Amino acid sequence: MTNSNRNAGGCLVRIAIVGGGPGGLFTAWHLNELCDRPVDLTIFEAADRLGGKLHTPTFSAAPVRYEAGAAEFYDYSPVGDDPLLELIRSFGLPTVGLGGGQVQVAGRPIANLDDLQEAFGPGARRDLIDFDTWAHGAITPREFFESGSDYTASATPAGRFDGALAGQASPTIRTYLEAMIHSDLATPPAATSVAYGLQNYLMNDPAYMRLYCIAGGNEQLITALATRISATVRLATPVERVATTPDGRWRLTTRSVEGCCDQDFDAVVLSLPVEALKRLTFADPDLTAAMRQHITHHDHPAHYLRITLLLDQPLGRAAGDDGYLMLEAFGGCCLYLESGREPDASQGVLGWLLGGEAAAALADRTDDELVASALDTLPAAFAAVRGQVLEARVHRWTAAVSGLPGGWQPLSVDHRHRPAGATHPGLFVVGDYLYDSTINGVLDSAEHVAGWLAADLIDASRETR
Amino acid sequence: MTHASALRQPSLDLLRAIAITLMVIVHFVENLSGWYGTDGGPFAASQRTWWLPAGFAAPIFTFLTGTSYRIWLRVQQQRHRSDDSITKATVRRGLLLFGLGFVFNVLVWLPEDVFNWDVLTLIGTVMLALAVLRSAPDGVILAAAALAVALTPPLQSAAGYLEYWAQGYFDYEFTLADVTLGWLVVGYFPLFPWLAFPLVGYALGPVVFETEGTVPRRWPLAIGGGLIVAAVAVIAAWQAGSFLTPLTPLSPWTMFPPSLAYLLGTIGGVVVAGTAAHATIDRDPDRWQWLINWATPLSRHALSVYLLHHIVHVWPLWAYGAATGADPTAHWQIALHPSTSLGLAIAFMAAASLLFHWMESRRVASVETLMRWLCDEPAAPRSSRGQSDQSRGSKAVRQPEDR
Amino acid sequence: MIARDHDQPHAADALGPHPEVPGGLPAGSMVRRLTLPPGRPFDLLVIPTADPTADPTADKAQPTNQAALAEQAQRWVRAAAESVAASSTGIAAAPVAIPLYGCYVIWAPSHGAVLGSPTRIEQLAGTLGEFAAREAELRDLEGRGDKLLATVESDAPAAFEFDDRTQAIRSRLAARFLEAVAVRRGLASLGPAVHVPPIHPPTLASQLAERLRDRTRLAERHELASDRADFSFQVYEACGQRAAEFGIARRQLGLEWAIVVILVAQLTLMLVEMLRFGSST
Repeated sequence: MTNSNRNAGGCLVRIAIVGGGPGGLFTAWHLNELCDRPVDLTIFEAADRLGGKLHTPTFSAAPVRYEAGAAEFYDYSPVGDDPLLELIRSFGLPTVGLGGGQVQVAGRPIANLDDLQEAFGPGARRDLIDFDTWAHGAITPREFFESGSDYTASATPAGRFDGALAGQASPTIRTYLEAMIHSDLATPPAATSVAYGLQNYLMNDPAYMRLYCIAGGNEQLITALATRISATVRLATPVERVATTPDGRWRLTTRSVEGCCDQDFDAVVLSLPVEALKRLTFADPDLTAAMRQHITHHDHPAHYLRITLLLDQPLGRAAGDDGYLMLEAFGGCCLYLESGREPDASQGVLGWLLGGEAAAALADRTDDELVASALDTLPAAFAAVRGQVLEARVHRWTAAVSGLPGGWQPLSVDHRHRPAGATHPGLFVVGDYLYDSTINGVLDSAEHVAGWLAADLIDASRETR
Repeated sequence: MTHASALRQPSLDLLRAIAITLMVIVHFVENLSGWYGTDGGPFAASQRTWWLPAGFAAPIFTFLTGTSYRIWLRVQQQRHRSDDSITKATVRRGLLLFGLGFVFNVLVWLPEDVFNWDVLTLIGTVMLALAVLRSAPDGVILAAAALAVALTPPLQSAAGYLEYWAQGYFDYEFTLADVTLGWLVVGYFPLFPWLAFPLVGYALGPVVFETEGTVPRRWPLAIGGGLIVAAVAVIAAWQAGSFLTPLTPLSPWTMFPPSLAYLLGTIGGVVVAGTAAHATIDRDPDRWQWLINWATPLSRHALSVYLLHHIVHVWPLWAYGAATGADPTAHWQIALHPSTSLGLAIAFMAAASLLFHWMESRRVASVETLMRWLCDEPAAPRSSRGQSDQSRGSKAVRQPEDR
Repeated sequence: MIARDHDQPHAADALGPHPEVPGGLPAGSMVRRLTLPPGRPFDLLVIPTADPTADPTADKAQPTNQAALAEQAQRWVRAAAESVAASSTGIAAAPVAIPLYGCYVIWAPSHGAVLGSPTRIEQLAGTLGEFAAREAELRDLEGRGDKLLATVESDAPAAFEFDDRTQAIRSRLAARFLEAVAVRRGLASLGPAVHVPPIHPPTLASQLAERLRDRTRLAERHELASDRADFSFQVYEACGQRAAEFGIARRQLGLEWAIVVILVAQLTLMLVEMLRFGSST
């Protein structure tokens, strides 16, 4: 990171970014790009690393990487612009398409309509086609692409997703659908909206979206951002209190190994998950009320649990070309076949992504118990894996994402990013929970806030002239 | 006709040698014995059927002049000569032959016949015309030739052709009108109709003598045959009392003036002869090598033969006339018996064959060599792409000065 | 198209089994001979593996001895394809092998193999046969496009200037223009089959077709071939325009010359009459 440069003869605008995850780094990067003058950026991160949910650690038993957090990115380029993909490619990071989608239902692998028909009869095939037709009619690719923005999908029915499933899908298909989307939904259908539920179904259609990852680990995006932004980064320095100063600036109270510290800034960007927002103290009563309202509106916590195994050999033909498949176990979980991401690897990597209530309930178990439970869910094709485990890692992401991004009734884009705009215009909020709980969403959020701040700075500089 | 060495077809040389031989015989016999004897000599018998081949010498030769120019043009284009240099070389050749024609007339036929518009001035004029007409499509050139043939009878009538030939030879006054009319219509070889022969040779040459078989043989035969049939039709119409040959009440087939039947018949005959020669000689040259060996040196030195044979038989005639105290032309056409003249002609041809064969083998310079040296552009060094046009290079040097 | 239609049965293969079935294969294995455009044969080895109806709980991902059968099929395809030496346009020389949810498909330009349960085998064979036909058609168009491209440089001067010398090759240029049109037309008609978007929910056939297209880079090859065909077409189209302009210019030239000749003839007639009139007076 470079030190901030003092502009000759002028004041340097100081902006604090609370949270060193993708949202905070995206915000810093966009501010560097959009501001017409040097800005003193400081990033405060409570953990001892940057990256948040993008985390690609390495096993100890072998120098093999695995995804501990977000395993894939969403490619919206079939429908419209994909700023995240463009950003990744502009950094020169190679991407790998991720295919898959086989679902284990009642012990049978269902990879396509023919499997479904073979397992549950021609009626099931017809039912799924009917549900799919309804889903496509409810949300078009364009509406899917614009979800999270102020664009409203008039055709999307309101209400809870469980109601839609009951109305549109037969019981057999319901089981199949729930297994298919549960790990993405990370919340029961009753706890989310029709729109969000359908989005998590339609994301399996290549006409709406495709999946990809960064070859060599998704955390390379964080590394690329960190090396390119001009900002001061304070790791292991959580922000405890946010207050205003008599001259209209912001005072942040941080705690680190060096003790408590107060620093003043001209603007603050809170790039934190909702759970972390709850732990912040706001000195101003108006601000506290606004933030409480903001948190309440967006407080729909969803949980993830990652169990990853290092195997002593690659997965072989059983894995085929797929990058993942869906299991019924744990209410529906995703089994990632990560060996395929590095074709020359001499070891194999299998990863479970548990979501929702199962993830919350199992979070208290020990790692060994979780690994044993995971191994019990392996399909017969992977039976040999039991004897190949070299190392296991568990990562708990409790309340790390939103199960209903944007809330039951999404607010306007501006309102959701500046909860106290009327009284405290210098405080901004960035988060994936404001859009769609994806890295794409948090990029959109960060770009919006950075653009807003940069425009304010330009206006302010014009006024001082 | 594509490759330079393949373009000089043996049939062309043979036909030209035949034309030259006929010309030598005709000139020897007509100049030395034309009116010899009580029956009026061969000239008077020019209307006789057995003398008909004599009338083909000039048609063959002038037709092949056009064909040879076409060949030369293709060679220049294959050597990537510019249009400018080609035109210059053509004009130079035309002017040289035109001027040589006057010089020849003065030295051989004596100064009073300087404007008799013989074959050299005709070929010179043709070269100057082709320098311009070569840009025209073949169809237009054939149309021009047809127009030349079609306009000849009315032009001859309008010009009063027979008045200039009352003596049996071209006799004119030294006036601009007579000189011009002689060049155009009434001379020995006026533009109308003799321009038609080289133009037809130029346009139909590729069709008659094509080496790469893209044109079926039927076409030239059909054209030649058609013209011959037309000639026969004209003769039949004349015999039936038609107006088609108003100038020659005695015969429909005359060379002086060239009648319509004569023009059609000789053009058609040359085309048929050329097609036949190409089909036989060129297809199997090895079988006819003895004939080709005789014909080629003569063909290559046609101009030399033309000049030499006149000198050989006309100058002694004038010398004898002068020596006997009379007008030098006193013994013209009555000096010798036709059989003697014929024998002299044959002897000359034999000697000429030997002479020019020897000159070829020893690469002795001739009039043709002089003409090429005077008229043709020297070959420029070849570039890597084979372009060798010196004029293009010199133009590039001159450009800064031109500005 | 098979890949798009959920419910219709697949197109029938060309009939006529090939007599030479490799030894050691399960009963019911056969070699079918298909005819691909433009008339090339394609031998398809069909190997039915374990019948899932005999044990519904058996995992289709690993039927008994399928791995060994897949290896044998792959060897057969590789050996046969090498003997034909069909690979010529940038496709990997080794056959493309695709494991697919309990089935196995191998493709090479002249040979292929499908392994799967008896209920799946016809879908796979049909899809592979259709793909092989499309790929062969594209390969043929690529070859024709390459031949055109080889002549473009030598013919390009005619696209700038047409003269008497170029006239001699006019018919050849016309033939190449028509060939460029034919190649473009072929690529255009092949486009929808190559650029078909993935369908959802997928069928086994659509999944196989998509993987085959991806692995053989059919879309990229089609795009490249289209670009090259467009380029050749533009050059020969320009040649055609120059030839037409030349023809028009020649006709105009002919007319102009005809006018010149007629004028000269008229002037000659006038001159002769004037001279004759002048000399007679």
